[in-house]
Amino acid sequence: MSYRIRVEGVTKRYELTTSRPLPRAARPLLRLLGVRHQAARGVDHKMALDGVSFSVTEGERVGIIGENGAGKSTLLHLLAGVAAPTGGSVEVDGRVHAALTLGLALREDLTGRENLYLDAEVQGRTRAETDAVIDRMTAFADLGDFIVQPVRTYSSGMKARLAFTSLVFVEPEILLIDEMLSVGDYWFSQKATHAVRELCSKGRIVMLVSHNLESMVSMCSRCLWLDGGRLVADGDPAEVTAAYRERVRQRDEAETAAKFSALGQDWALDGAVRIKRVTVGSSRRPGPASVLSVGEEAWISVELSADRSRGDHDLRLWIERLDGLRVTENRWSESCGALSSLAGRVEVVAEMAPMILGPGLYRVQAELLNAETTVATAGAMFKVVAERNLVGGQPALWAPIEVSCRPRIAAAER
Amino acid sequence: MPGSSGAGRLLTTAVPGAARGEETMARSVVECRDLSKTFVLLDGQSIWPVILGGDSVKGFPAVRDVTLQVRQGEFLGVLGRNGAGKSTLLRTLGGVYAPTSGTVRVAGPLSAIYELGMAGNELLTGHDFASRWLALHGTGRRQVDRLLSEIAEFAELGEYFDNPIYTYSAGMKARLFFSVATSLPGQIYLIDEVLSVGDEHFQTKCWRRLRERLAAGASGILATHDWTAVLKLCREACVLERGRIVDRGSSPAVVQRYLGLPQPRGDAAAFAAHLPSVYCALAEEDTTLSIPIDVKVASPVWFACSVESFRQGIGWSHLLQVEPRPIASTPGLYEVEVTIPTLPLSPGEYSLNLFLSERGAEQTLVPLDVRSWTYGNDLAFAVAGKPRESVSILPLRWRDGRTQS
Amino acid sequence: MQILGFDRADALRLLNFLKMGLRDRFLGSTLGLVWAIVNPLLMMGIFTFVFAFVFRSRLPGAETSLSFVIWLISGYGPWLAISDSLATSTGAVTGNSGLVKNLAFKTELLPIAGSLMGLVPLAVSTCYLVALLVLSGTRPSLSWLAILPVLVLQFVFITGIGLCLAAVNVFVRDTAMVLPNVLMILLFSSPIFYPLSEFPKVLQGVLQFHPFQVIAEGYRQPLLHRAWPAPWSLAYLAVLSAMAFLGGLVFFRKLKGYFDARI
Repeated sequence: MSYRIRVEGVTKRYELTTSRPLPRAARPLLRLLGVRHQAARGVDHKMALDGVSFSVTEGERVGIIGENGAGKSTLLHLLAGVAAPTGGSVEVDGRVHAALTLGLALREDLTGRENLYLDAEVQGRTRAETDAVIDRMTAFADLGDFIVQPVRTYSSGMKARLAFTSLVFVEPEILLIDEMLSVGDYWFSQKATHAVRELCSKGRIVMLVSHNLESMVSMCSRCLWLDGGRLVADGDPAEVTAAYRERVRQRDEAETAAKFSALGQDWALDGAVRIKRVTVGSSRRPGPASVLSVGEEAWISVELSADRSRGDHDLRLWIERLDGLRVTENRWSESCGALSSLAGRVEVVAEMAPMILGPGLYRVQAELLNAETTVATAGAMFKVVAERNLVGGQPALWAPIEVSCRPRIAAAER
Repeated sequence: MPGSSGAGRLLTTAVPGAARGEETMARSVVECRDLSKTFVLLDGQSIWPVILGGDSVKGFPAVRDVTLQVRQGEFLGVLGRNGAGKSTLLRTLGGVYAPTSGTVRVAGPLSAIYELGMAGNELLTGHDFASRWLALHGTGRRQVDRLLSEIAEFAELGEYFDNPIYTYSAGMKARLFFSVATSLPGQIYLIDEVLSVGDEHFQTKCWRRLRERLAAGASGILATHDWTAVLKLCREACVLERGRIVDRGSSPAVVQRYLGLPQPRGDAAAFAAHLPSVYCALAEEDTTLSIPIDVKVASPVWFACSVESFRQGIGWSHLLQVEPRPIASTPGLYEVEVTIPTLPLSPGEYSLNLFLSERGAEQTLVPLDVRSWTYGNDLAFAVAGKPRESVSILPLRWRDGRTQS
Repeated sequence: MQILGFDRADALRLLNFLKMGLRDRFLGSTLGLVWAIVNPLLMMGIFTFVFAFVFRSRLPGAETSLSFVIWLISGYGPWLAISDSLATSTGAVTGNSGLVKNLAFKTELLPIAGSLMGLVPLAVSTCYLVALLVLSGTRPSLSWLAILPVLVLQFVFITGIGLCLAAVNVFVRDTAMVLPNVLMILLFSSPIFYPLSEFPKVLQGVLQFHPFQVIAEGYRQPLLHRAWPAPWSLAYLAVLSAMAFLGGLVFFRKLKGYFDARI
């Protein structure tokens, strides 16, 4: 198999710039102008790429995904020959055309059409050659009347279209695209996918970086996942993007869950009446639990302690899901009158039979009220799990809904 | 020429005679009527005859006769392809461009996040760009200092925050800009395409921030080609094509037409013609919904339904659901009864979605007839009762632990 | 409260633009701040050297070259400020296209801020001049403050011209490029390097109404002769400045609606 691109053990190291210390004498004046004093920093190193190796053959459509700062753009820059690796080797065999910055090659004062001509000229095509394809290019770009307007009036999506049109018709052997395609709309993505497939069927190589994972799956035959400068996955786009998504989702969830649990406050107005703790459990096992199953009989226990009772109290309970959905707000007084004669340790229980909350992470918060003022509050976190996922969606509530079907009489209809 | 959108002023360029419906204007936060913006095309033509008022000038009508209204607490979606005029419309509403004709009315300070809005001196560090932007938007020095650390954290630029912007990648620039532009807790937002920048993780953050602002009562306009964003954020939407509004209505309906999704025809089985468009129920009461269907074929027909509600910034969430199950397999008229014990929904309006389908190849379900927000023909489900803050009510039974019951 | 269509928010914005401009110009590069001071000093130093030591020019009836140099700098300093203001304001709109396209504000504030940037070279040259005056034995006097009205009028006048040029430059980009040459011609055709009395009699009558002559005299009278500038010259300058400013403002406002065709 003849490889057109071969990358072996490539590393790329950047030195981060330091800030300049400002002249001492000028500081008062500069402070007036709103300039902040920065201490001088030392030189810092950043490993943008760390031991990356892969090869690409003819006809491959390769997508590169990864988080911000993972090294994707750096890799493209190395492949384009714009920068050199600090270590390892990059071998590229073929004519490379790189679109690394949106619109960099576009002259703002010229019209779209004129830019197409100009770009073709820069690529070494004669005017006659361009004339022959200009109509097809215009049709491909699909910019309507804007094609004869100066490029400075274009939105970024339109610039991307124009630049991409130019790229496609240049027909390079190796095409590198950096994050340009995500600004195009749905129809453009489809066109771009089709164009890329055609290019690659002719034996060309396209490598593109994008955050738009759907387009990655439809456009590419192979996907590389870069993380912190390292190549962590290389394979089928659907699989790699799914794994990437899952990882991002898990990390975000963990972050949100951490923030979520930090929100719960335990507080009391004075020590006289307090909520000692709030616990959750089910009839499956005795004692408190932190995980409940959908549909079982569950309870929420609120333990109060009062050194002396002061009038009638009320208890308010609410449960909130991780994403902020408040799933219930219940009051003792709605069904049981006033909570009176609190003395010593008192336990109040709210039973759910069945527990209809769907899977998720929840927080339950109990508030003790005295004449509509909160005198104490406490909460707890719990998780709900289900044995299987429902078909058709994930509802917030798994209520025991029954469906029956019986014949009806037509005469009853209006 | 309208004045700049300064702090708290209502700005109007009144076209004489356009005074009808003044009272409805009061509750809207952004409103425009017959708004047009034509760019003068000067290429190849001299400016001087134009200024001296002589020649009629060739113009490019970027926005034509647009009438919109955004109500307090809502976001309006403006869908359109590249080049439809969305950016121009937003900038005209925001006061960057002066309208050629028509009126614009904005009830308060705007936070405008325009596409390509990060123009500026690239020698500035991210930090300086942020403080400059904030200063230009009227923020006092102390507040600037306080906001800067939040901006740095949100944009996740690390040490790059103190480096010149020309060292940033395109993604970093976009993150910086979004972070800065949404740092001021404003009330009225004009957002242009910027919600699709950055990786999934950053997008999640952006949406979270947007939801925070929404919870604080933000309103505004989202102009984008990304219909999924419109479905998440906006209850109502319109479509802009070549500067004109060509469609408007509820976002699911508009998106469905925009994408040209085919609707199932209901040949094999369908909901009866007299299917109500509204169902009513009482909160916390046992509820039965009767759904009449007509089955025309002798093969198993499957039924599913869901009750959903629209949460701004999140989109449509399922609250209750009935998984697809077979309900009939011989032709005839039927009544499907869906019984929900102790209806756990809070009083309010929900979307009831009904699905009739049949088994297709490889365990898939092929839709036969659908009433759903994705097709814009969902049913309304009105639940009455004492209003509550939570979206649902769990049927909890209280027990006093002191009495051993 | 609105003055000439500007309100308090605009005034604050103008201040912001001025701060921005000063920061970008003088603090953008390592030597920026140094250059702000060194450049005018260098120019004035060169002229000092050339006219005092090479040509050994003297004012008619004067003893030393130092008095000539003082006379020269008192006219050249304001000139530096004027040409700086004009150059900056001419490019103020075209150079800030990013702001114009993304921020809702009154575009005329940009050339106004650009013009006010001329205060920096003015400050530098005034310090240099004061140093020379002290060196020549002149004691500082309160009459020096009489340059303030002239200073204000100078800026009003130049801002008006700057507004015109800024607007024209959007459509005819060569304006910014041609300007330095035009200013050079103006410099040598004004009574800055050579006193009015050296000009042919025919031109003197006309040239005494030359705005730059009036401005230069407005600085020279208080600083060199401890006298107030002639009242007629102040009145004349006031009228001229008002006309230039209002004219420039109206012209700019008329054209700014067409800017988006070219920015």
